[in-house]
Amino acid sequence: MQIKKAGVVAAGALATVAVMGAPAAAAQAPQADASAFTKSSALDMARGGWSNPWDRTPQGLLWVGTGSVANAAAWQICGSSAMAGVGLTIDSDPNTLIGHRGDAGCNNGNILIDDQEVPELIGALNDSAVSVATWQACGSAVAGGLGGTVALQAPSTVFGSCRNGNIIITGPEDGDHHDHHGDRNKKPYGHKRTESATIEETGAATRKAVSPAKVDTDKLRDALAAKHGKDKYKPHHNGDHKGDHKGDHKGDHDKYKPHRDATAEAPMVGEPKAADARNFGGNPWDVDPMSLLSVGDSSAVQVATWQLCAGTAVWGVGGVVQAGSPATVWGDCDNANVWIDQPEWPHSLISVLDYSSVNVAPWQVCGSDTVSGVGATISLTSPDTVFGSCNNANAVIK
Amino acid sequence: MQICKAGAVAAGALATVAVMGSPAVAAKAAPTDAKQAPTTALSLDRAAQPRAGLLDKQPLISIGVSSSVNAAAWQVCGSDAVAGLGVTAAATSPHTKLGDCANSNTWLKQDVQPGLISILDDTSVDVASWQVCGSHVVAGVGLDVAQGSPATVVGDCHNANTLIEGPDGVGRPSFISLLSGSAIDVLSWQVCGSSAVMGLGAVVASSSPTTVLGDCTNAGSRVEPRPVDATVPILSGRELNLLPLQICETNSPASLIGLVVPLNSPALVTGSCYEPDGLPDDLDLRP
Repeated sequence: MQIKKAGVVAAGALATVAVMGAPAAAAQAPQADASAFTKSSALDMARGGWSNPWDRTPQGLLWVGTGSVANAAAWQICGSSAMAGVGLTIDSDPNTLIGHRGDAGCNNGNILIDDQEVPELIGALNDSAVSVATWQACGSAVAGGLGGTVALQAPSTVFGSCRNGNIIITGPEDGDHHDHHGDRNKKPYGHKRTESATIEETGAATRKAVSPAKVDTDKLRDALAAKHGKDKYKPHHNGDHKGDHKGDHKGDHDKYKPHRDATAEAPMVGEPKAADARNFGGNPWDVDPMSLLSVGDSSAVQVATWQLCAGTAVWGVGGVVQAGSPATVWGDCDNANVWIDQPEWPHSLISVLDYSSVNVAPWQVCGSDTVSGVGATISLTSPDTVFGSCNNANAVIK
Repeated sequence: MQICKAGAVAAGALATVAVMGSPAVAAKAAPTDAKQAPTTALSLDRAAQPRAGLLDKQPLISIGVSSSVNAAAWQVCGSDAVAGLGVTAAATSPHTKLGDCANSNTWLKQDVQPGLISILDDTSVDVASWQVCGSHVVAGVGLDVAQGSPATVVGDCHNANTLIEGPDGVGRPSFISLLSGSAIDVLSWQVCGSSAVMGLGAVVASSSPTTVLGDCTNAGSRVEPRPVDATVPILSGRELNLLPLQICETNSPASLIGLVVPLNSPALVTGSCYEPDGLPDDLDLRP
């Protein structure tokens, strides 16, 4: 009899949970007084030590633009001779930028997003990045707009990399199913997450992502995950539990992880039965949250992401005349590259343009002279040199 | 009897949960579990029950999920180029690129469960991805003059290549799949280690060699199919390439339209020029 009660109660709790996710299903669930269970000693037996089925953070009902980044007209002129607007620039002085830490040079409009929330019931453009008109001139001479640039004996030099409008959206599963006991504590960057570090990491990771060499995704994910303090949300591969799983789990995101995480969890202290059960797949009521409708979640949209890297260019109407003005970048030039980690479990019942990249007019001029508009560029004894790779609008979604 | 009740409850829960992901599965699961759930269902055997209905939920409709669209991705790399109206004139101004040039390359993995109705999922669309690599080019209307200005790329030039990997698991097949898991390239153009006019205009190169010490790949695609096809696949898992054009190690006076005047300006590509049809199977297309 008690067991029967327990069963009914459990059903009620499950039904309660289901209400949040699927109203139609809830209508069929039996009604029950949940207070009866808390008094029932059979409940613990029936549950076999599982966590309480009602002890869950609810899904959001409607989320729009949460955790997203929108950039409009992010411009950077870095170690360059430039006219941006209307007018004339005459430059006869060297422009030199020496990046710190030997790697970072000029970073503009790069975005890094950690997508690690419980899927909302209806969502649009969450954890997404939108960039419009992200422009960078890096170690270059440029006329952007209406006018001209004259560079005489004005070398432009950047010691470091130039990164513009690159986007990384990492998924909640980062490293979760990669059981690297030894690597878990490695933090390759070894510093706190700060604004500048984020940008730097973005560029570094993007550069890695778009490297023509084989990409070690495990390491990349580990590096990204380790840096952003997500360790506490990870399965505890290294046995460091310290009460994380004991008692009340309110607010703990662990519960909302997909079941494959649970399979990797170590037994909880004092709850061996629960551990056994969980190792076979977790609580029966622990279901991956799923959206009803999501549009554009964890996606990247870019329009007119332009980079001029160790080059000479007219973007607009005008001219660039340079003499004895070499343009040099000692590093890579990365523009409008996208890396998106997609989840391996279904995200939404109706899913439109999630985990996608749309890139319109990403232009890169790298170690070159070009007219992209109306005008002329004239270079006399002004070599353009890039000691590194040029990556433009490459996308990795996996 | 009691156990049967418990089992029924569990089955109900499973069914309730399954409603969210897959109505069809839920309908089947409920009665089966109710009858067969043994006494220890909640503690032991439950763990051994197949979880397919729970974990392998299938969206109803998915459109454009995990896809990439690139429109007008242009790269000028170690080159002189007119990309619009205008003039570029370079004298004793070498353009040198010590590294690779990669433009609009895409790498997708079909690891997301597609919907019962799947449209443009895990698909790459490249429209007008143009790359000028170690070259002198007029790509619009204009004039490009290079005197003593060699264009050199020490590395590979990759443009609009696509790799769509197959999934790690099997998953559920879609019922209708339209243009999913496909690589679609339209007007992917590459000029590599050459002097060329791609629009109206003229290129005059004097003592300005064009050199690429590496490979040139353009609009190469490779699609690894899903293990199970959709019931109704429409142009899914395909490689569609419309009007690709590669000008590689070419110094021909006659170009698309216009005139190229190469004077003492040899064109050289030390690697291979890979066009869509001629891609070797082992070529690495990952960006």
